[in-house]
Amino acid sequence: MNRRGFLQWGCAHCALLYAAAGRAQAGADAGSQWSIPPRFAAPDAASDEGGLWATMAREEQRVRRSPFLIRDVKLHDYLQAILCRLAGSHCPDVRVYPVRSPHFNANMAPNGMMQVWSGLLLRMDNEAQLAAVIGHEVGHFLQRHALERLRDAKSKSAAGVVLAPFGLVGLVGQLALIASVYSYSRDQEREADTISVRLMSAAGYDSSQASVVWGNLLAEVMAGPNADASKSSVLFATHPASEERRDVLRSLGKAEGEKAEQAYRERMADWQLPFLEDELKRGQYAETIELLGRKLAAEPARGDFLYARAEARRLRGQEKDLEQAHADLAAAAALANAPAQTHRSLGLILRSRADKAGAAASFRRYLEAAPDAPDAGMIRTYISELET
Amino acid sequence: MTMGRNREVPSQAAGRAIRVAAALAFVLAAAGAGAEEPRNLAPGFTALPQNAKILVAPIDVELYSISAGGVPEPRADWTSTALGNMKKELGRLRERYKGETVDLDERAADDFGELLALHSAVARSISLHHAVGGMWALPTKNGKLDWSLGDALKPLQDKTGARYALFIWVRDSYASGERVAAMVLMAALGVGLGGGVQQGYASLVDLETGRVLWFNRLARASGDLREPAKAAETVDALLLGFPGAK
Amino acid sequence: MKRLPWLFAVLLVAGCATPTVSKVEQGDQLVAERLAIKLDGPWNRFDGLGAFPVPTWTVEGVTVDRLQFFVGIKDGKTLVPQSDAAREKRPLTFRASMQPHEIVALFQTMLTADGSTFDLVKLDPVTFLGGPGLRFEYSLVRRVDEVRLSGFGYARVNNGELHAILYQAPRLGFYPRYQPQVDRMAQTASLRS
Repeated sequence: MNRRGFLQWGCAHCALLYAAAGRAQAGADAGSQWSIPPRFAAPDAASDEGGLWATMAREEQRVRRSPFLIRDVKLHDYLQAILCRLAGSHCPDVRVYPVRSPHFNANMAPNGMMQVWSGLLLRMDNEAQLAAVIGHEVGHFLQRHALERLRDAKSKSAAGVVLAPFGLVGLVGQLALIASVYSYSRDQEREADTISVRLMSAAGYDSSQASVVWGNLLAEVMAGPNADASKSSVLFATHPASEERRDVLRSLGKAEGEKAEQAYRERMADWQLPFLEDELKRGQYAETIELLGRKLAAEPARGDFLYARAEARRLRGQEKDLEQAHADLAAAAALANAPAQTHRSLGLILRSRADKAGAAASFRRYLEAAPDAPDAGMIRTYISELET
Repeated sequence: MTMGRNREVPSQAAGRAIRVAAALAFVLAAAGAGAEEPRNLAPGFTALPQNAKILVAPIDVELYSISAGGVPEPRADWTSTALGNMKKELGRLRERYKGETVDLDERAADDFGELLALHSAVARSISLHHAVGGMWALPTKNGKLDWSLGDALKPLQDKTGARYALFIWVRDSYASGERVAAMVLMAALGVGLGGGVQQGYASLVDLETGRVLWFNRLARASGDLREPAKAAETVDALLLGFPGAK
Repeated sequence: MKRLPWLFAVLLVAGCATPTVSKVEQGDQLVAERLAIKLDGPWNRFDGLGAFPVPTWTVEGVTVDRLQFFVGIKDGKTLVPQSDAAREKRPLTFRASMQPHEIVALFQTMLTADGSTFDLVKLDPVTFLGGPGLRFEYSLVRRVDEVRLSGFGYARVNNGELHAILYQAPRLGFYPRYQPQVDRMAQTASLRS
């Protein structure tokens, strides 16, 4: 599959949509006259919109009950505050649910329920980028795109696919299935992008960050070994990145306003390591290494990023991987903010090189930093083996 | 050759045949009830005490559409309709029950997700290994309804004051237009394609001991849950033989 | 999300695969002709290549608890049969040079192939099959139906071969009920060459 084909992966009719040469730049309805619509009244239960709300209410119940919901009040409140800032007068009608899943995903259902997945939270560099994605979904919500799609005669038979992303999509196979037909039309995506820029500006965010999000996504997926057969990369199943989107957003965005980088780092601090561990568990090391390379370029002195990149290499274990992993771990170990696991990984590498003294020392540092680690028992055995 | 059933474009004759088959199934089930050791009841259990308080757990139903390729896709909109229909019939049956029934408040249910998921996993094993049984029967169970969740569900009793709980679960799938077309074509070529399957269970559990007291599996050849009358029939079939006090 | 397994069960019942279930009696038993174990009570054993590629036992049923035996997995072989595509993406290949952490990572990869989430609870050295081995405990949230499971495994590499016993059951009610007896069984297991 050639590169352009790759970018439109998973969307059967997108090839047609993007192929036309002289396509209009600003085809969106959200022209300069657009302003935030008034709050929606609860629809009549017998109407199609009412049926849609009832359906979504049930999906929301499942999300609330799911073990994959992140039940951290502080994180929830932080995300809810951003959502409210962007949704303006609609704030009372929208609710955010952070979900533990290492894929890049966020969506808002027609009844105001929003999901934000942890894979997305990991990939944001600052609050403005997160606001770009949230703002985009709010755009779909404000313009009632899902209802529009449902009413569209052509998509009646695909109603299941229109609605599916708003549920708790877990199985990898499901993600791929949903990606095979977009929920929103190209015009709707464009409209949501335009609105997101407006909402960001109105809320005081640097709207040029929206374009950066897609650029980063593209780079990450391209780094994967399956860049050609990207149907298998479900990382971005629900939000396929495209050069076109990145470029359009670049032209729309304005580099004024807050990025809120520091605020984002602080609020995400407790979740960095768990989300990094989730990312490592995906086992897609090339993508992980690309992601962390970008993160480290912005913040070179992050022990957790160095540890995670090293771990991706150590686990992949190809030629030169162990050498590079060792370098990253040594750099991390010198930093005060290195997670305890840094020393364990270093110990494992040194042990595999028969550097007994070095390995034992690293393992000891690990146990000092994490005396109640799950594998403390095994590590103690390594130490005694190494020191006999 | 098996003609799969389809509910999107039923022919008159097919519809009639299905209704006859369903009626027959009811008759056979009723006839078989007293003939041998009651498979639906736990050993030593025959009926609930008078006016026992029962927690009615949220109905767990999911409807799917099957595309031409045979892949089932969940249809939240169909499910929503089916749920409404089933709740209505269940409500009617609850009114006729002499004891007290309580619901699990929707907000409260958020805290009991793990318990509900656990029961469902156990019930699906009972469905396969006991209700279906046959080559799937677990020899150590000796053909008996012998499952217990131990003290795992006690929090539900503590929350609601109910000693017993009733769980209902249904999965159903309907052929999409494309699938029906594919079926018609395949039939013409002499190949059978299944249209869809309706499966479900009703389970009565003693929340204090965790014992599954009564279990009824349903496997019907017809019954569009999106239609109120059919959904009511399904609920009635699920609760056929419910061991209320005599 | 109880999406696929019910359909899977229906397909199996319809005869797309023909597994059998047989009883394993209490007392001395031999698994895969090499692993000698002592059972406190009877178990149910599944046979049927497609659905159960390794010896798989249960007390309460396929959706509840599961005991698996990995016997004599050789260097370069996968834990369970994998398609070429699956093996390219996330290989389950055992290497005789693997260290304890890598063996645990191997089982973790197997257990998370369907999107389930895995957390290591404990990893300790133990004597298993008469030699140095490992014991690990884990918690798993099964993706397909969101059930929380607890599990443990014993493993040992002997003469370049991997032998392991893996057990998991729902965290509530079932794991506490059966873990002690399965642990005892694993501790007293021995290997015939």
